[in-house]
Amino acid sequence: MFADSIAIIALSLIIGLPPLIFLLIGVRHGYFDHVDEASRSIFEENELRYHRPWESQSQMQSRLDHHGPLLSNPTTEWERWL
Amino acid sequence: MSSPLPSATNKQGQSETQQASTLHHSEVRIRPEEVRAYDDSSRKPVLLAFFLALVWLLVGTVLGDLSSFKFDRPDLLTEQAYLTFGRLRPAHLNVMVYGWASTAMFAVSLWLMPRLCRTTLRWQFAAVSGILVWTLGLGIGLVLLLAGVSDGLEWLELDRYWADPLLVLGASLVGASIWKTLGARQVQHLYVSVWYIAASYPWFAIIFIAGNLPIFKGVESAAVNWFYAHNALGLWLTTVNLGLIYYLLPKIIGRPIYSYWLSLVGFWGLALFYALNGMHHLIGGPLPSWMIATSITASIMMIIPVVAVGINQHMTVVGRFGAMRYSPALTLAVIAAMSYTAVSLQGILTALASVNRITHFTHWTIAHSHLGLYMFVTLSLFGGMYYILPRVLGREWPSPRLIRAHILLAGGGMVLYVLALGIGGVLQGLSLMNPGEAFEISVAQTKPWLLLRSVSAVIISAGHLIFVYHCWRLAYSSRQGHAQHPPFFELKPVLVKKGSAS
Ligand code: HEM
Ligand code: HEM
Repeated sequence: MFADSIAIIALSLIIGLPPLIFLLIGVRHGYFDHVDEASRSIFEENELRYHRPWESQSQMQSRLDHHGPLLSNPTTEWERWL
Repeated sequence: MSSPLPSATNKQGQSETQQASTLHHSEVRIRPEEVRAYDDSSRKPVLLAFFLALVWLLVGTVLGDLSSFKFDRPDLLTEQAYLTFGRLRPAHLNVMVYGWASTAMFAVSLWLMPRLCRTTLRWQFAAVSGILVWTLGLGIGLVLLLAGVSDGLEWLELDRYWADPLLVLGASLVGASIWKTLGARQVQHLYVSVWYIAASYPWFAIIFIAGNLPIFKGVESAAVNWFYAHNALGLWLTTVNLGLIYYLLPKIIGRPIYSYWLSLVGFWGLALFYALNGMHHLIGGPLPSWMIATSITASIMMIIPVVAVGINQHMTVVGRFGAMRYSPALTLAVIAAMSYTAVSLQGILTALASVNRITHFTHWTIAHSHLGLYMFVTLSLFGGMYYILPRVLGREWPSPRLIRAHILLAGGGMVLYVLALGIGGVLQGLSLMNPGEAFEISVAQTKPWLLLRSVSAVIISAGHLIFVYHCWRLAYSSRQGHAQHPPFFELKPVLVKKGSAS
């Protein structure tokens, strides 16, 4: 009878174990220490200050409070729609 | 659009940590010229891959349509062997998965990595060659498949001697360019999309090679087959697209992802639990019960990464759904993100033995497949193309009407497809389970739902044609788009909070 499959067990470990090792290496090397920085790293200079036409007054105010005076997007992105 | 910008106020109210972090981050912010240089570095492979993906999309659409029509008219096109269902259906699967989705995913990865690693794309030549070798492999595999040469394993039908080595080589070359770029990164931290995309390439190479090894026999062959197919979904098609969505949502909305921690839980949860899922495709099959039980347990555990991703993406957009009126890329990314949650919850439900008993041999599974591979994967890739192509080509999409038509036809058509087969599948399953009903009754019961699917197939195909025509106009027309309004500007958003400007 087919009781188990060494191939499936081995393959699952080959796929599943390296992430665990990478996770530990990542933790040791501080990859998860600056999560704020990582989450903001995708934005260009001033990008968070661009005025976005769909935002409510309070959303705009919060943008302004956090990132400084609002600017028009120089590439007129929202006017020309993405 | 003309709403006044609030005037600058002093930022004394801001907490010290916020100030400190803002200063710190502004030091590392990218300049727009840099971003343009990164986009330029990946331009060639990205355009090549998107072009080939569109060709495959059209081929796959014809194959999908024909497969669908054959359910309504089984005698349609049966004279030639290569036009029979047994060949067209796997051809549709392979063309859509490896031709359309995977090739477009190469483009997405090659465009995203330089931006996220803040360096130009490395080994561009390897990437271009990889895309071409992959396409050649798929072309050979497809011709052989239509000629009747198949490995006989679902998702792995392409010939293991002539086609698969080329696919492995192609993906490895693209992966080499991705990893070389990662190695040359100028940033210490890795944005969550980098984890998703970089991990996908070695995962794909390992599972694809393992799935194609000609050493497995009997039940074990089926087990390895489904180990491959499920991981191809979860550690290849899902991961690159989640990486893309994690980039598009915050970028377009203009606020960082709601919780970076949750995004990491989503990634590592998937990475650690997913490999155990595969056997849930064989529930009821002649496998040892511990294997099935493990996979069902792992499927239920998937609730952790799925809910983490769902909450995170929802909270990033919440209160700003009005932005969907301005950006088709966002519209598609939001629908794709919601579909990811939906298909995963449906999948978890389907993995329960009591449900699977009813749904396994029915069209329910096809509804699930297309909810995942279309409403999630394909719409996410369309969204990516709407965002990426104008940036790479340096011009705007010419027509909001065509964008609107494409999204409404493709999205609406697929909702009809999934609903029709979802309902039809459950009715079929219940009928099959009823010992008092003959088998033919279960078949007859599905007919109207299959016809509805064919109607939806025509609608979706029209959407694809419009999209390809629009891409062609974007690439070759010298006229710039000067639209007054974005494509969905006139639609009153239903998900926008009261008092929001949109
Ligand atoms: C024009 C749109 C589409 C139509 C009309 C269509 C139609 C079909 C049909 C008729 C089948 C066979 C169902 C069966 O055997 O009962 C099928 C299967 C399949 N299609 Fe599509 N399809 C479309 C788009 C796509 C896309 C874009 C993808 C992937 C990115 C895809 C992936 C698949 C897969 C993986 C299967 C096998 C499903 C399974 O075994 O559960 N399809 N499709
Ligand atoms: C937690 C997440 C998920 C779970 C637990 C799950 C569960 C399942 C189960 C149990 C089946 C087998 C149904 C049967 O044959 O009786 C299945 C099939 C399938 N799933 Fe999922 N699913 C999940 C997510 C996804 C996602 C995200 C996608 C697409 C990107 C997807 C695409 C598919 C496809 C294409 C099939 C059909 C395979 C075939 O028969 O050819 N699933 N899923």
